[in-house]
Amino acid sequence: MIIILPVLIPLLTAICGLLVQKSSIGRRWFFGFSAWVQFGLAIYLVREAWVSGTQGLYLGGWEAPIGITLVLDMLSALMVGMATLMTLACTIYGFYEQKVEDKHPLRLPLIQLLLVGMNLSILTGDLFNLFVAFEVMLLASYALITLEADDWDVRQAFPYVAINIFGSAFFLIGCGFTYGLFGSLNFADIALQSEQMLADGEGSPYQVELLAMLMVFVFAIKAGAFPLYYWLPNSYPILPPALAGLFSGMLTKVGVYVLIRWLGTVMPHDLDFIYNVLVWVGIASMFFAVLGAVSRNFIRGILSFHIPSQIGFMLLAIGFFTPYAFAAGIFFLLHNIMAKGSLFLCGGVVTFLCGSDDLKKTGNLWVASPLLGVVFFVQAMSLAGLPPFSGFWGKYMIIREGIALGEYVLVGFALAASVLTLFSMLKIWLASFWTENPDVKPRVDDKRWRKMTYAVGGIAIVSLFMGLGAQLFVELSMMASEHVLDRVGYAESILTGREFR
Amino acid sequence: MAASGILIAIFAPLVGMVLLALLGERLKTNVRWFALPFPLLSFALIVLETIGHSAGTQNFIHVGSWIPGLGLDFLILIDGLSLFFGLVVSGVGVLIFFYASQYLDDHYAHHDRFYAYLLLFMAAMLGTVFSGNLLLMFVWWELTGIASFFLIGFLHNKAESRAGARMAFMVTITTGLLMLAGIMLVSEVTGSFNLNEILSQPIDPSHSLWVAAFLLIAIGGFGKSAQFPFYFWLPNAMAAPTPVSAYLHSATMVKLGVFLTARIYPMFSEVDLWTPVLTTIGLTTFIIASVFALISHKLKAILAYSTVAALAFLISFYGMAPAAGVQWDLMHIQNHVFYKGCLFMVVGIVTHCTGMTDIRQLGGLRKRMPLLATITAISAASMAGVIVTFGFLSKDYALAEKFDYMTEYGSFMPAMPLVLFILGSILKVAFSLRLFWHIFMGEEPEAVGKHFHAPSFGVQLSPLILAVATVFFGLFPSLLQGFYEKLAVPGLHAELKPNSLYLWHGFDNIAFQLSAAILAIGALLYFVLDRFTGWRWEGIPKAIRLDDAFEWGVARIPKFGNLVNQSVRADTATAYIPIISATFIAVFGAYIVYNPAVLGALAGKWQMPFHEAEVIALLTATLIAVAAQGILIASRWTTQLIFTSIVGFLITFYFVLFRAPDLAMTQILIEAATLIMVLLLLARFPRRAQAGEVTGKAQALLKTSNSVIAIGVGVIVGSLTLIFGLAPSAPIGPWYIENTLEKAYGTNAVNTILVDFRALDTLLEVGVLLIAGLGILALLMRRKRTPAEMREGAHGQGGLGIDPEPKR
Amino acid sequence: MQSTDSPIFKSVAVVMFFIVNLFALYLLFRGHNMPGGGFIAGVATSVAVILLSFGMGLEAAQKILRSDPIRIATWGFLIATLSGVLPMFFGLPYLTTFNYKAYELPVIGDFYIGTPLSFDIGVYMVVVGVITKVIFVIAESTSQEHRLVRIAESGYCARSEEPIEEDPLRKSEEVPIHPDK
Repeated sequence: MIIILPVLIPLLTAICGLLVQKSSIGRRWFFGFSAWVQFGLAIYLVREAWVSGTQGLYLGGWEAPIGITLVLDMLSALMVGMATLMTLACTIYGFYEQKVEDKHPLRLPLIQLLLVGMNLSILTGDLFNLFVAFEVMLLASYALITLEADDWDVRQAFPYVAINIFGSAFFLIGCGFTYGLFGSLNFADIALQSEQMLADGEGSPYQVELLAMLMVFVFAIKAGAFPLYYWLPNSYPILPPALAGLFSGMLTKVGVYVLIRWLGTVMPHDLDFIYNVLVWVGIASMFFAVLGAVSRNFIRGILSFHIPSQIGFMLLAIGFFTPYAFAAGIFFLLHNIMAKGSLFLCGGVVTFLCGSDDLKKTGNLWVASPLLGVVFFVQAMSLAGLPPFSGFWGKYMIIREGIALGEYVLVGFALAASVLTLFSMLKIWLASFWTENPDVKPRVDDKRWRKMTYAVGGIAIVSLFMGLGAQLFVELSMMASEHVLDRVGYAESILTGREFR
Repeated sequence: MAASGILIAIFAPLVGMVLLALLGERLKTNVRWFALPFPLLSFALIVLETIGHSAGTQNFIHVGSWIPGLGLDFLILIDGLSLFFGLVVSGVGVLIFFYASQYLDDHYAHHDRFYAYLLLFMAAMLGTVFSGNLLLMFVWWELTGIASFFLIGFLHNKAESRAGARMAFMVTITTGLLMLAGIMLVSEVTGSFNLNEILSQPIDPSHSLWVAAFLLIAIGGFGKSAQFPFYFWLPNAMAAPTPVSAYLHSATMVKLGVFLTARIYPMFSEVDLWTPVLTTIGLTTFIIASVFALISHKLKAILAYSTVAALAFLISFYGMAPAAGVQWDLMHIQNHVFYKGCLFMVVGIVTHCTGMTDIRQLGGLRKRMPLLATITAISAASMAGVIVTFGFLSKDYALAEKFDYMTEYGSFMPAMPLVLFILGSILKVAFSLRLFWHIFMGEEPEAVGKHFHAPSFGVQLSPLILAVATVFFGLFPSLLQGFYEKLAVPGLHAELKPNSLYLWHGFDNIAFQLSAAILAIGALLYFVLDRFTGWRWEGIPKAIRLDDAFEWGVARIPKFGNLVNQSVRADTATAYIPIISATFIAVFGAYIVYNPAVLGALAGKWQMPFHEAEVIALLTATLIAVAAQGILIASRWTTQLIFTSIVGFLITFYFVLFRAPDLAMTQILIEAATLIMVLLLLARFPRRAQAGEVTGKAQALLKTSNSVIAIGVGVIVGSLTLIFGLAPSAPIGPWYIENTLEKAYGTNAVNTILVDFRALDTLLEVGVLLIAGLGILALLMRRKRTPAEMREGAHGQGGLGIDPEPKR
Repeated sequence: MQSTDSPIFKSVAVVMFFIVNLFALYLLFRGHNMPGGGFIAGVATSVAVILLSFGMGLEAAQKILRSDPIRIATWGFLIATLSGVLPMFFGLPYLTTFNYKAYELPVIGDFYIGTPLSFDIGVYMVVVGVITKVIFVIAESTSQEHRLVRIAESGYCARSEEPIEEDPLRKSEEVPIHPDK
């Protein structure tokens, strides 16, 4: 019963927000309150997954595989936790970005609708429902990306919309093929059937492999893997920082989550061809994207290019395809959501203070606003993978697995990409924080930047805790990886209605 | 007691840092007196710990599991090495904090931050040296790098500070990452990061992973200790205020490489490459750095290069250690700490009092600063190795050791170390002499007097203490014998002969004779060079300055990134969809073509006979494909629109063929609504588009390639459809048709699926419609950009989400 | 879009409006047993409203709807969402259906009243609201009715935003986007 709430609460919140159009303080309070409730609920879900393991909710009372099933396991609980955390932070951050009467009245409802899409993508146990969830998520993101856009921005948003629609078309084709192959769209059902199909010698391995590949292709477009990420770095910078934080933190990561779910839970575990391709695609994304990042001269541009670069690390972990590597990938995923999101928000505060995020037009911030500097530095170092911040442990786990597998070349590439990441983070740090720029007078008198920084600081504290108290998150990731990879357990705990076939 | 004492010693500075960071701003310059107790406390605790330490033991204290899932235990190792380094870090820390309290004046802003960084650094250093877990050590190790980044960049309004900080950070972090890989290899081989467990395992020293681990960890040490080829960052790190240089870049942080070498000695000393690698790198650096020290001009650069040389000597010293273990290594380190810390502080005072940083601008200061001149004389003498100073002992014992090595243990070019060491020592004498002479002797240039102000006694106190200690221990070295015996580390140190540390070994001692010769030749070299050549005005040749090369590379990386970005067409919006489609074609096409089973299955499908209905369906599908191609080929957008409509209506027909009235009905209504909407939008299209896009050669090429890609995607998707066969063995669909009335109380299965079985899909698809409507409404209202803002592109105000100040 | 001058077209449009709407309602209510349902009915009604606006002009057509179409859509969405929430109070999963049979109604025949129906009505309202609103606004925008665009967009845009096709003639008479301020 409770599993539907992460979808239902934001949905109802959004509807209420649409019915009360006028931006006002009270409306803000309402959305803020709802975001807190959702975050609390997500933490409860994590506890629930910790205690009871994988469990399903049969919507409409139709048991799997008849109706739509929502599935809660550790991974989905953690991802919902992250989604709600980022939404909470970005919502609160957004409150102070502009005066209440200047706000776009649709932003808050659309954020909630975006969250509906994300939460449902995470929780669903049904391929077509996943498609629908993606549609909600993407439509909300299309609306958000053009919401406060001006003439120039709209042009930049076009590739984003076009390519995601393109990807959705492939997704739909994939759904059709899946039904054609397995006669069902339920994850648990597919998992069991594909296993059986291979065991019976019925159906051919290449069918399963091609299907898996097709969906991986779709999810790789959403997640942003080389060379499918191009739409990303040029369209994310047009978002207002509060939204950029949410998009960069959560939206692309949903693609990675689905990839993990698809390859880990739904598809058989012997698709070595795909894993090998993923590994090298990961390395390529890491490199080409980070090189793009160092070539940019404004904060949002640099950070946008880092998204696919970090996705590369996750793909690497998925491609290794061991339980430990999955745990590493999940840990890294969780870390990256917070680090990337908060860096965008920090970039927003820089923009707020300096009036631009062009590195040439920023400066003096380490003197003017050390608080922001600390938050930014912690998260930047976390992104670059320095101990004792969370990013280090994620990278450490991935690299350790690489070494254990004897993939020294890949490890070498990953380390080199980390150095370039560090370099681009230092580029921002030196230009925005340390440089004494006589043309820039940070407007620290406007106290709103403090509140914005507190909102980012909240994520930074969680992130810092994830670094210093990594044990908890390591255990959670291990458990999540266990849940994801346990196909039979997943199918058995969900598929109670097999007599319907 | 043991663990808690050390823990407090490590974490007290950390607490201090937090306190200063939070409260320091209000204290202004008085913050210095609040910072001083923390190093004092740490020092006192470590002294107590040393007193209680029983000689030759290693205590591993498991404080707790930090991240057991990753093998990270909070394991503290208390042994001679860690205690010695702990004493150095905290002891010099006390002196430096005091020195800084005198040195930093109102010209410097943010004293609180300065002391906070210093405390962070101190905590990180203590953490590093007391770590008994390699991963834990790495964590602290990188933290020293972070603290050093902030300290070097303390005067961050200067470009050279920023560049220096970045260079140091990049080099140490990069090498640190390699070291991490090495540490992971160690754990891969031994299964643990805990030193006690690693050391207790028998390991084959020729295991390839073990050798790789050694090399990687050694690179980490080389990076931190600024060894060849990483030596270039240290002189640039001298952009930091002098107390920082004295503390981090001479006495403590750069010694981490040496510490690391000693720490891993028991693990790797039997690896074949141990001696060749450490000796070659060490001695190469020793010579290069000594030459650079001689021809540098910045006061701190001279000292920086001399530090590099000293560290190089220490690393090569461990590299040549005999099988039984090393002796007197701690003495060499202690010697360097004494004289180099002192010299840095002196140089800082000189710069402070005269405003000069270049040795060529200085001279004759002995009259103005007699005390400082004395201190410098002592320390420089110690650096050169003049008798009665501690440096003499160090050099004496080192020479004896090298000589023994040559005669007894040498397996790798036995004479080379001795020769190179002598050569380096001669250069060292020369630059020591130069340092003293050019500052304090000779004529005083006019410019010096203009800004001169006399140093306070307080600021000279710290160097004075070190200078006195240099002489004191130089005269009475035997007092330290017990100290070193106590700090012996099993597996690292050879047993010391009783009473073997004394000053005078007699004239007929080869080491003494060499030492005297070195002094004489070094002095001669200096005076000859000084009198007869203009070398002192020359600098380090541009061609061999690796720091310039580094900066060049740093400046090129963004351009290279841009080039790569352009060449993969990541910034060309029109290329995105073709690239994605091409990737799709390439991946799936390759899979299909190279997989005979797939090809066979496809061929089988083609040979199957067609049903009549299938013929019509095929015809319709072909028509759809042709119409879709028409969209690509048509040049007027109105024609394209017509083709789009044709595709839509053909799809409706296709649905009818498959007996799906709901779908057909919906599709045709949607087509109608879309058509209305597009016709409404007619007026909004730009003239150029209305008249049809300009056609030219490039356009034709583009159309062809798009058309080819479209056909390719179509062929692949078509093949996939055939491959999947779309005939599942046990589909779920029929169940709905059978049970729609009974379970969902409706005869129309499509609708019962929509509103009952899979109602969530419907609900959310309706939500999608609503969101799309909202999105369209949002699109129709927009902030306008002026042409100037338009040109600014991504840097413009749009989308920044900030209110355009200051109006409103 | 201006209203047409032809009285014949006007009256035809009005008549058609009622016929199409009746047909739409028929589609809506029979959906459970025959092809039809909320979505199709919604599209049909929207087409009828559009037709009416061709005949009588945009403002008149909007008046018929009485309130902002997006509000209708939002309420519809709320109804659809809540019709699934209801069973949750009885401890059943979200979207479980309740059905009450009503026999032998005229035209439609056997019929079930329950949450599927309210769900379908919600769907119908969303479809009508969104399609009409979008077409109205686009029509107003393309026919340079900036005053109408501003009114229609009030509540869906930020203060600093302007209609994309601002006509220079009307720039002087500023209409506040938020009428309440």
